[in-house]
Amino acid sequence: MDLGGESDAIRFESVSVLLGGFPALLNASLRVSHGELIYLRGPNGAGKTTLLRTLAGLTKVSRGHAWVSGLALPGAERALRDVVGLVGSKSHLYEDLTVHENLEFVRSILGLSHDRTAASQEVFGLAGRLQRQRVSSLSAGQKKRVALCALLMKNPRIWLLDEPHSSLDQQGRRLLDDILVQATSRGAVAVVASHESHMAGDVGARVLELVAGKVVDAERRPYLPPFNTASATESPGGAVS
Amino acid sequence: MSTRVVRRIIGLTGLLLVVATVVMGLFVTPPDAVQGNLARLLYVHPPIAWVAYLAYGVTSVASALYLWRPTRARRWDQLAVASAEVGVVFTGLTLITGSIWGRPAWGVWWTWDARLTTTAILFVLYLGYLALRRIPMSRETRGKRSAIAALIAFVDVPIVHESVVWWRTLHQGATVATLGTSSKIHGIMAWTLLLGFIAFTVVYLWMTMLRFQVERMAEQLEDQEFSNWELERAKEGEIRSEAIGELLNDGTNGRDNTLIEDKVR
Amino acid sequence: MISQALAVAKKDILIEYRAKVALNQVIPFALAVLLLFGFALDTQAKVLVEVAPGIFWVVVLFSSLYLISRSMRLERDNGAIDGLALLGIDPLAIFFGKLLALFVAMSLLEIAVAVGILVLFSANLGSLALLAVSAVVATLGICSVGLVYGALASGERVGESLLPLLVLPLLAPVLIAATKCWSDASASHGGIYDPWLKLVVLFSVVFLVVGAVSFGAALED
Repeated sequence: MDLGGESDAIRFESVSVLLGGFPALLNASLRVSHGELIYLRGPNGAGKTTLLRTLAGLTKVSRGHAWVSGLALPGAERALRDVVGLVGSKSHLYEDLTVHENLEFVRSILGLSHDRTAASQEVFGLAGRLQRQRVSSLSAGQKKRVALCALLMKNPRIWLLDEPHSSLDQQGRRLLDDILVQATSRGAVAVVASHESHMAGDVGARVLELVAGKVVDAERRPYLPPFNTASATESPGGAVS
Repeated sequence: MSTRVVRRIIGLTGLLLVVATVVMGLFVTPPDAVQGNLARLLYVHPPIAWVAYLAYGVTSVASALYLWRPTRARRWDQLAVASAEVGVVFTGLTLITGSIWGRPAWGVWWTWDARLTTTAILFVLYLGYLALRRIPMSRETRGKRSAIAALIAFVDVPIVHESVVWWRTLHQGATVATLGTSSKIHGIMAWTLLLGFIAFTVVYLWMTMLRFQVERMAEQLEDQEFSNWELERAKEGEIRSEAIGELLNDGTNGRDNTLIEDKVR
Repeated sequence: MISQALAVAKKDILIEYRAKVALNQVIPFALAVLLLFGFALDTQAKVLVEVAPGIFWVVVLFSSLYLISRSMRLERDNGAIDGLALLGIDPLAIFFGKLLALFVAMSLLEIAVAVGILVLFSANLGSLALLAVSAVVATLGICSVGLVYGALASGERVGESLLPLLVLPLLAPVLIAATKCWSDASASHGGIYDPWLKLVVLFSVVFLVVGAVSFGAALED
């Protein structure tokens, strides 16, 4: 008997997500086991962001069924938010507050210890003078570090990252890869939407491709841009849906 | 098919009843002893106001049914908007006919009477409700949010009415309340008034059914588009080299460029 | 829940402390409107004293719209509202936290406008107890209504300009009743048992409950 997707970390069965009538996801099916690191690639507007937001319980499944960490969608969005963490194109930060004040807010809501904030800040190089900077004065890469720092503090079971590599420097990318590898080795799942899936091999990630709202297994159908040669990559800062 | 026929029958009935009300109100009934021909508004104004309140009542009930999960269904949201739109039209008509009556009766277009003021606030509240529905959102979000707004309006209206009644009674006695009943209503006048109530209620029924159907069809159309998307999305990712080439070869742009160059020289 | 609500309130107050939108923009705006009312009514001392309570509440209501929009915009910028959702905050905590912060900003606004009216219009206060209680209770009601409608109209840019149309008609009872409270207070025949105060209390209690119940649903997509 099928357990109805409860044994998988993530399972989508013909999931469609309508955004104002437009099916950003269209009959997408997907299976991810516990401890997997997934790189999600696909052209602009393929539905990568929508997939991540659906996994985070921020966007409702319109048709089909999904299970994330044993929670059935649609329905369990609110419970799901406790077990997922998302860093998207938007930083979720308050521009008028300092780095530390933003993280302190996250800490107080999640009921974490002060040590945990301090340690996470150290990891991302956000301790010291930088923590007293207002977020509005930070660079895009620094904001991303703050957002990732909050994610590390939360330490979710499902890590969802939308274009995390854009605007991060080399050290930041290695840092992020290290965190994701360690988290998944402890049983967490990470889904990373990235145009830099050629790096996937370095971290032992499985590559999934999203085309026109559908998930295509990249192993079976290699992603070759129809016009350009395979060596060309899309711009990392490209717009996503 | 059957709902369509029923709707047509209701529409025709409404039309006949309104015509009958007009004939009775204008030609059959005698002029009022005190207000003369002005009192003929009696056959129109109260029924219209009644329909406005009825419409908002239906919107409130439908919104509550939509919000309550066990009964949540698209049709309640569709009914809520259909009825609210008809309600706004009839509230507008209530205010207009009230003003037409008020001008000769009291010498002013508007008086800060409790009922009048409440109706005016109701009118604005539901204009806001309809404006809220126009904000682009997903169907479910819109349904839920506008249902909340409709129920808040429903809760607010009695408080508005109470406060306005209090506010006015400090200054003067009730005005409109005495208008309809100040003169004796003859038998034939009472019957005509009743006819007016029935006629406009049937018209309300017809308009709401029609609007409901339009809303429903609009959503069905959206659903049909969903299947078309599948074809369209399959074409995504194609790069149309020939088309690009043609666009780049197009002379218009080149000519413009040379013009600019000429100017620069 | 309470600690989360306090955290949200603290965050909003801290943001206001840093950005000073209420202090540097909304309160000066309210004072400018007071001056305009003075010009419009031709500084006839008697008229000004008579209409002072009404003008107070009209100015406060209009200015409150800026504070309400601002409060909701904080959560919309950078998708902060998604961030709150992902932190698993109880929507009730968001509601009461934001309510508390908004209440603080509104109180500052009301004190400034009241002082302005006292000075510019030579109005008198009379029963201070009635005045203070009615203002506090009315403000709670205004903030609740504002937050719920801020949430209902949120998500899109057009929503912000819709807020006044949605909120102002709803607030008619509180405008009437709170104005009457002040009139009674300044006439010194109003005590804490003024009947208009009861209406203010009724309004605010109803909308605190309605707000608490519906805010979460309004935020959810």
